[in-house]
Amino acid sequence: MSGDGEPGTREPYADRWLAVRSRILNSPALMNPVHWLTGRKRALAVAQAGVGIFWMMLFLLAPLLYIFTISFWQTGAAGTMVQEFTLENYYSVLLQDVSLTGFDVGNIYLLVLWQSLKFGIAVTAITLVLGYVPGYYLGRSDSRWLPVLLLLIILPFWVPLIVRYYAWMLVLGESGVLSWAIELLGFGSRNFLYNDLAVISGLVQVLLPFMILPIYNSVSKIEDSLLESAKTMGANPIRTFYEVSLPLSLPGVVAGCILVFILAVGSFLAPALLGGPGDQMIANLIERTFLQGQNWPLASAMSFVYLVVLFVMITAFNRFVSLDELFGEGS
Amino acid sequence: MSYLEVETVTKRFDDLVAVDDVSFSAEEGEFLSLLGPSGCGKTTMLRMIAGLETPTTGEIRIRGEDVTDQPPYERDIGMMFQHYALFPHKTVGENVGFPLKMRGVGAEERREQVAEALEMVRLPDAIDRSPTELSGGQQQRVALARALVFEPDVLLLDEPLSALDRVLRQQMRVELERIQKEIGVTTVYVTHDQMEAFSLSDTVVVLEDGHLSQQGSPIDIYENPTSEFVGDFIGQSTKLTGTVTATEDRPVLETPGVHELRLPSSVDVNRGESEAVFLRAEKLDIRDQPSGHENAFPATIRVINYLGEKTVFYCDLEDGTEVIVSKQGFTNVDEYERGDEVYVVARPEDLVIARSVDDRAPQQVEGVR
Repeated sequence: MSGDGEPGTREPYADRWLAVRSRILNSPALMNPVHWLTGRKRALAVAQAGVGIFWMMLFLLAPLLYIFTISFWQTGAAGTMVQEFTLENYYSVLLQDVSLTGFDVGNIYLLVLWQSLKFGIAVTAITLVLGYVPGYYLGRSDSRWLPVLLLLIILPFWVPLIVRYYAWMLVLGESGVLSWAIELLGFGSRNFLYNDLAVISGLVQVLLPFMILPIYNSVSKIEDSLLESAKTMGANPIRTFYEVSLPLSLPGVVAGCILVFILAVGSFLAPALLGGPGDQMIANLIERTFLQGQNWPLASAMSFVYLVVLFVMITAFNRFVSLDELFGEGS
Repeated sequence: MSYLEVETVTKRFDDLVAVDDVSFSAEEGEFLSLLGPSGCGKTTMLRMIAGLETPTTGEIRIRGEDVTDQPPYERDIGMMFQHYALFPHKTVGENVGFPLKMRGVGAEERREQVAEALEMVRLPDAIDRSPTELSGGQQQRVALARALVFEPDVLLLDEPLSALDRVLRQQMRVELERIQKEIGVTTVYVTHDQMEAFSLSDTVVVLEDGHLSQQGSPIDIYENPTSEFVGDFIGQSTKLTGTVTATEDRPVLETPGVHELRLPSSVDVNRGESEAVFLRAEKLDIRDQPSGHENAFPATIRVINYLGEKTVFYCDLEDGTEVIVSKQGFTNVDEYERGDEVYVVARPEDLVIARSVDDRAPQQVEGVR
């Protein structure tokens, strides 16, 4: 602001307006690269950014905002919504215990959320163990078959999720492959479906590529000369791995873990198809509250709490492994 | 027995013979360069000494011990890579301490030795910094400290100066020489740069297309090339090929560009044979008149490059062959200009004729000098 702004007089007022205008025009926000571009180039840049922002607004932020809004609305008769503010939904989600036919089962939402997180952690841990070796191997490989091998990893994505889960049912089911193998060994036939392990194994099977690919990506960026120089300095293969390859592959591990964890916790089909009555996860609960319970405000509150919990967990994880540092440097 | 011995080493990759029956040796404390154009096998040779590649046939010995099949981590080799290969996830101190850690040196002693090594390369304050924050020249110093901190038997350098700009390259070359002489480590240096090889080395090994072309001191290689390849590759020179015509007391070479090129009387050539002669740019002269000179042939100046310390003339002979004349401290550049008809003068005893060692008569070596 220009100093001599005398209120009441006309001229300084105009001066001040000019000063403010020039400050706005010279502000860092406007002095960005887009600002420097001219004519069609500038229009193109704005349009490109605009499309992305528009997409985000339309398909991510707008629905979220809508859900956030109706989570404070009241429920009317027969699934209608009453547009009046209430905290009732959040109260039920976070604090209200449910008693089913006389049994106090505690807060069902938090129980299911906890169950989902446990499943998520288990699935993440197992995919990490199973995915690291192939991811590492592919990342270090200079085989001419590499594109084919990578294609094989991506290939399952072409098959609809529901088909893959049904296929997994054929593996685990009473007349499935696993049961048949066990029968051959002299044990009776068994059904491996409809329990925690079925859900977890199904999720592992489906989500494994999400662990392998980021690890592959990180490992493939490690330069050969780093490993060779470690060797010339006296590090045997095991120490070379521990001192050089492993730390440099961590960005991929972290990315893989976050991807798999988010997808696993929020999975809907796996518990619905492979799980038993006690294996329902948060997505199933929200879905049922939305569609069967017809209680949109409550379901919205559930969704929002779930979102916040997930966000907090990922932020904590991020802090713990200092993700920014890992991604920021030479990865 | 030499300190480092490479004996009849051959390396094949599928159909490609990268190194073909190469033998050389270095004494303790010697600075040896592997010099050659890219693809000549010099880096493969270095990697075999490091243990990163295994020779297909042949033997490599360090201090008399056969290390041919030893993995790199069991050899005592300090190697500096072309792009330094510093660990981005470790600090400078951890990088330099790495070989010590691998050798089980305790943390306390390690810190001391790391500090000492960084002192040696004049980077004592970088110990806690990340290598990614350092400039190219600083990274190189760290890499050198890391290769030397554990006092290896042999120091291997793979084109260490190639990634630096010209001024820094010169500084680092001097620095490298100082450090190498200071600690007296046996060093094998891979380069395609003749000046680097000559200024640093006791011995230069010239490789051509996988096989050893010549091994000797820089002077030996420059003055007495034993093959046409070395004569051509080393130094700035013009190659004239022709037929020997007279051999009474003075052999004469008949070439398309120069009709009578008198060779030194001591040179051992036979009439009617084809020979190649190299005219070193810095040993030629430019004159206005041919009188009083033995080998003075007419030429036209095409380009004059005034470079301060020297002036380089690119001249065309009668048949269009390009002759390069380089004059040190030439002050009367203004007297010449493009298109001038001049005479290029070559003293017969300054002509370089490539001769394999077996072919060269003893007195002839003197003659060429």
